[in-house]
Amino acid sequence: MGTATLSIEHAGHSGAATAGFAADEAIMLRVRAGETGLLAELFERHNRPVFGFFYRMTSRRELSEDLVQDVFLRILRYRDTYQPRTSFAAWMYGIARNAMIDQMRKRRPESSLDDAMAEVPTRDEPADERMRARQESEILQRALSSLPADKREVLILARYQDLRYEEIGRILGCEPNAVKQRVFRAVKALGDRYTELSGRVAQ
Amino acid sequence: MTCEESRLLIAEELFGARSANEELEKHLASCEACRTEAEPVRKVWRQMASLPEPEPRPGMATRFYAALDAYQQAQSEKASRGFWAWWPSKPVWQFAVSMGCLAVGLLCGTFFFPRITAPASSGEIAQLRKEMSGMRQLVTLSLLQQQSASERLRGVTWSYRAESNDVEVLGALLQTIGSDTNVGVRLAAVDALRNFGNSPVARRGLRNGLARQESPLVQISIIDALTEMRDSEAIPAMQAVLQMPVLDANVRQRIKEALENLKK
Repeated sequence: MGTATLSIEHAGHSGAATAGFAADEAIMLRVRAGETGLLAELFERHNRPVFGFFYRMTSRRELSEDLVQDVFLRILRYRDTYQPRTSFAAWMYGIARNAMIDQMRKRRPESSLDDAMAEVPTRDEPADERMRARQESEILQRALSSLPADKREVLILARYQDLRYEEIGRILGCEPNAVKQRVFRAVKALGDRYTELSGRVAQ
Repeated sequence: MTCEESRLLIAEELFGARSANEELEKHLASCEACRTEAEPVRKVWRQMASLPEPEPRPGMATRFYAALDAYQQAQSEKASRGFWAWWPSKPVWQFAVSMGCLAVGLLCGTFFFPRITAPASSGEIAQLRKEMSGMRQLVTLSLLQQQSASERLRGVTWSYRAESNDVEVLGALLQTIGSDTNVGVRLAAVDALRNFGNSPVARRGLRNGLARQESPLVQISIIDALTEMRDSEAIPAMQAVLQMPVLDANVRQRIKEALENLKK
């Protein structure tokens, strides 16, 4: 028994998301049954996206790296609570979310996520054609960072974590239709923030 | 179709659930308000793809593997194997357990015959020893974080005093090898890592570090360390380095020697 006997297909970018889903679930069930070494496989598959989630939420590199560590150790500790035939990704991001909330409470009880995000430097660069694309993506980044945490969270989950809306519903504890509504409102708010900030830069 | 329904359909479209929906397009064509709302939403969603993907530093994976190893080690030590499970297999530990029993016996003796005053109890000594080891770890870790290269070098020297199963120190050394700006510090860290030769994490860290090093000196030092550890799993890593388009001649030579040595 070991990684040598592991015969799962690596779902690449072109591969169907469902293949990755099935493989994750199969690996997690074996981790749950005691093959804890296979957690390395799940870590390899997910450490970057999970890091991306934390980094986009907190803008803090070191904290995000610590949180990734925390998430995978929690997966190990709470492996019994994983239910077969449910989305591993949804379960994992639920844990990630809890880890982040715990951390925020512990670190700076007086400040919320929003305060951490507020310190985004403003930059005035000439609207040179070559700089334009970069500037646009910088403004978008600032717009995203300045959204309230709940909007930012649903947006990051929907856009960057490769999740279906049913999975996000499970993570946030709401109905699929509510997820769709929240995503729509969050994208709209992001668009408004973006327009507002671009106007400010243009002046 | 109501405006609310059209918003849900747009959200589904964003998730990639459906591409173009005729009814939705019909609604958008007829409803001015929804159209002006939908356009920027779709645009900003597309634009979000242009934001860079945040990348963790390589030290994150190293620390995770060290923690996973430590967890598994603790688990396998706990796993019981029948009645004699508690009896260690190595003579050294058997001796240690015997001495422990003797110590307990002596303690019981002094407890039941309190007239004889006991010297510093073994519990206190163990406690002191634990504190010392914690302090050595703390000194090592904090020195390795210093700005000055000579301070970091001292940190590497301190790491020799750490326990050879100290995962925190091991992780810090691997991080030093991977990312320290000073070649001297990196070289010293590779040497210090030989102390951790029994740890699969150390060997894996060295194997992974080999290809990423840009200094030939450090590469050679890593190759030597892996050869000394008789790490046969390093063979594919070394062969991969040989395939690299730009490679120092000395490193190439040393890898060839190491491969012969390891394949024996």
